Amino acid sequence: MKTLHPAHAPDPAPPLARTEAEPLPEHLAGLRHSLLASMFVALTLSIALMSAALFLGIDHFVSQKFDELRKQRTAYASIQAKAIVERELAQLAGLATLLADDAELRNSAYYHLFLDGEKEHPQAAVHRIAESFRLESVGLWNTSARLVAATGSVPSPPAAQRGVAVDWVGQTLWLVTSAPLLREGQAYAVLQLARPLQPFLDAAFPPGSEVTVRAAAGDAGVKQRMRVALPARNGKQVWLEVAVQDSVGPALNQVKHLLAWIMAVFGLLLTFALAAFLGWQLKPLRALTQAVSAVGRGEFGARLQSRGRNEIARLVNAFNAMSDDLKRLRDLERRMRHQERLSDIGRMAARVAHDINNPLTVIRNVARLMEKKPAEQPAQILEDSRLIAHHSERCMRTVEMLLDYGRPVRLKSSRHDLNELVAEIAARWRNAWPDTPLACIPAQGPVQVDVDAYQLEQMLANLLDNARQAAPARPVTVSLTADEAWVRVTIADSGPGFSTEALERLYEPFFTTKRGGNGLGLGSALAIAQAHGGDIDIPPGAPGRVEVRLPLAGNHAQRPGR
Amino acid sequence: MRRRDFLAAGLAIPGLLPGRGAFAADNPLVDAPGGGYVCRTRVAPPVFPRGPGDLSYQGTHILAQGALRELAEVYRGPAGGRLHVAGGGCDDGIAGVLRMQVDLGGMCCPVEKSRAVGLPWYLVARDIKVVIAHPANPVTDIGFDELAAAAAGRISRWRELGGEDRAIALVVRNHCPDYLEPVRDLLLNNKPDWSPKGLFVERDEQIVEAVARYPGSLGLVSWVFAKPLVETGKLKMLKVDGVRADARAVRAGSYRLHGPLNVIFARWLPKTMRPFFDFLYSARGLKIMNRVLVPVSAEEADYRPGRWA
Repeated sequence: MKTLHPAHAPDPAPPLARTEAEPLPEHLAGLRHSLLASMFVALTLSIALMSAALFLGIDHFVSQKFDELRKQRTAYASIQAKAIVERELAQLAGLATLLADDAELRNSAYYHLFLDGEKEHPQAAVHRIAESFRLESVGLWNTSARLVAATGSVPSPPAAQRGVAVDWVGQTLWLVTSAPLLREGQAYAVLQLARPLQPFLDAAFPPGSEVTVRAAAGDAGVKQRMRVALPARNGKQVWLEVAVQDSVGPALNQVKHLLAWIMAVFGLLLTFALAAFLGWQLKPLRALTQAVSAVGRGEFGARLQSRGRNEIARLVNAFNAMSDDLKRLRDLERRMRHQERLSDIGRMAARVAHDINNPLTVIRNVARLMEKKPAEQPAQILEDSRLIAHHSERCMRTVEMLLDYGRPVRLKSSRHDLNELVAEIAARWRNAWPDTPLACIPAQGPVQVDVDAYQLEQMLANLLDNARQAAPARPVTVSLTADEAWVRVTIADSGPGFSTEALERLYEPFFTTKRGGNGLGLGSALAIAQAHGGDIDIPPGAPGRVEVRLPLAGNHAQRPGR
Repeated sequence: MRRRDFLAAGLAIPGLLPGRGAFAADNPLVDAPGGGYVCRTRVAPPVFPRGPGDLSYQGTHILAQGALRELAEVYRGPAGGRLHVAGGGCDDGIAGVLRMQVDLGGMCCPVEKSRAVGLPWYLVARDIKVVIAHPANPVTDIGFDELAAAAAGRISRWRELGGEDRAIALVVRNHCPDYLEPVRDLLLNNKPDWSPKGLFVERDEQIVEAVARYPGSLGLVSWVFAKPLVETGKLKMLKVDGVRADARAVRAGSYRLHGPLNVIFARWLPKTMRPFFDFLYSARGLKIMNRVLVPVSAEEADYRPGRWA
């Protein structure tokens, strides 16, 4: 393999065009993958989109409707304005026709025009007509468009025929009608009546009202106004420009602003409320996460509190069930390992008993024979013989215990009152260990159990011995409690209790925390309890406390023995 | 055309014939109530109380205003009966009588050649037609022929009559056009050939008002209507051929411009009509008639109570 000298080493790689992004802080990274954060963002976006769509939809629809309404009102006002003009023109035309037949007017006009009459007569007639009918302008013209008599502002000369039109006089638009004065079917003068249009429009559309109507000439106009063509004279174009004030528009804008604020505030409130609710609902997931981590570390048996019956609650319940099952599996596994060890020990014990017990028996018997002939033995030999016999006995008992430990417990059960039975066992134990005070607290009422009294005494003696050795000369308490199916015998001492490691290996054969202990007592006690369908529990966090659980008579669930 | 209008208005057959509107459209000179071409001034017939002994009159307003209203105030018929008076034109009187709406009808035209031919009637007075002019007009006298020429338009300026050089504004009420209206008959041979430059009016009151207003005007009207203005100096009454218009001149025959005032009726009602006519031709009645009219005696009128029984 070619080795590159550092001097010939290639240049360091150029920096990447795309630098690595700065990693997010831990709490932000957590938020990035948080379901709650994602749901919060989704909720916020959904509510914002929904609010915006709702607002825009309402705005579009309402604005369109109000615009149509305003157009309709403008069209109606235009029709109304045009009708007013046409009505007033018709009335004025009718009045002109009627007045053109006025005898005084006709005669005075004819008298002046054709009979050398004074002008004052038609002028008086015109004034009388104007005052009688409150007309702003009355004009009398001859057929040559010469003004004969007039009152007020006078529009341009009328045509010789009857006619109606609007016409400008200065800045004022007038309704103008004319009617000929006839004689033998021939017109000899023309009566012209005129009234300003604006008062009629003001009466129908008072100044300051929503509708504005104004006259306009030419083509100029405002798009927002509706134009109504009026009959004009001399080819002029005269319009009425009608506009309806959009009084609804500002109110609509205010409503839209208010609606926008309301939707924004309520959208935020709804978002936060939903987020809070989701956070409350998803809160068990955090505890569940921690509990699952504990399971991953092998800490079974943890239980979580569930709320309600929703999916989260069902998940928590499923976790609790799984945790319980895992704990039971671990116990079962432990028991299986225990059983396997017991089986190994049993087989080994049988072999030992077969291979060692017989020589030990010979050794013990020879030693006893030597003890029976003390005269024949020197004192030292006699002492040695006794020592041999003693230790041989011990070896044989150990072998016997091994055989007992590996042998399945065989029960000779009979019904007993456990209160009485425990009291008897306690009395004998007190006699054996008078230095250790033992208190016995019976259960209320008789506690009938089907037990092997001998095995039960052996189990309790083992446990009491452990208690006495944990706290020598300190009080030990045996108490009984019963429920509908079980009775619990609790042995409590004031010792330090078991360490965590000891709790894990309590029932392993030959595991002991006591000097001189053989590590078979607690396992033997457990075997006896299980043979009665019960169990031994050493609750964590309760030092110096061992509970034996036994089924009441009639509820005996015999479990396989060792 | 005129007869149709008369029938529609007077005989009250509305809807069967074109009414005034259609007529007026064709002839704008008569498109007003009481148009001058029809001797009719009332649009609707009068409604009188009908007590026992009451009499009702409708017709020429010359007679109504000249005598009958005053006479009605003093006349009391049998059972306290009163005379109820409504004006109008000759056709109003004829129509009222024919339709039995009134008991008596008044006419300012001769019954002959009128639609009242065949109805019983009595001459009750004569109406003096006076020639009037503006008080400022210097002319005081006019010849009958000059008057006829002015009425026909052959004389059109006052200068021709001895006055100022200005046009003559003839004020005319062309009433009872198809009757033998006495003045028209005298001046125009009963042809409606009035001066084409005349000022036509609808009522006699308008004649006196127009003449009083226009300095260049000339009018011919009943003394009944001219008397108040002449007496107050607002009108000038012209002599005709040097003869002043009055009852004496009429009776003497020196003043030719006058006309009969006749009362027509459909049937003789002796219980109510006789007392009335008796009163009318009585001295008291004649006195009332004499105020502005030329009274006619019972003999001249050939009043005989049983004549039309």
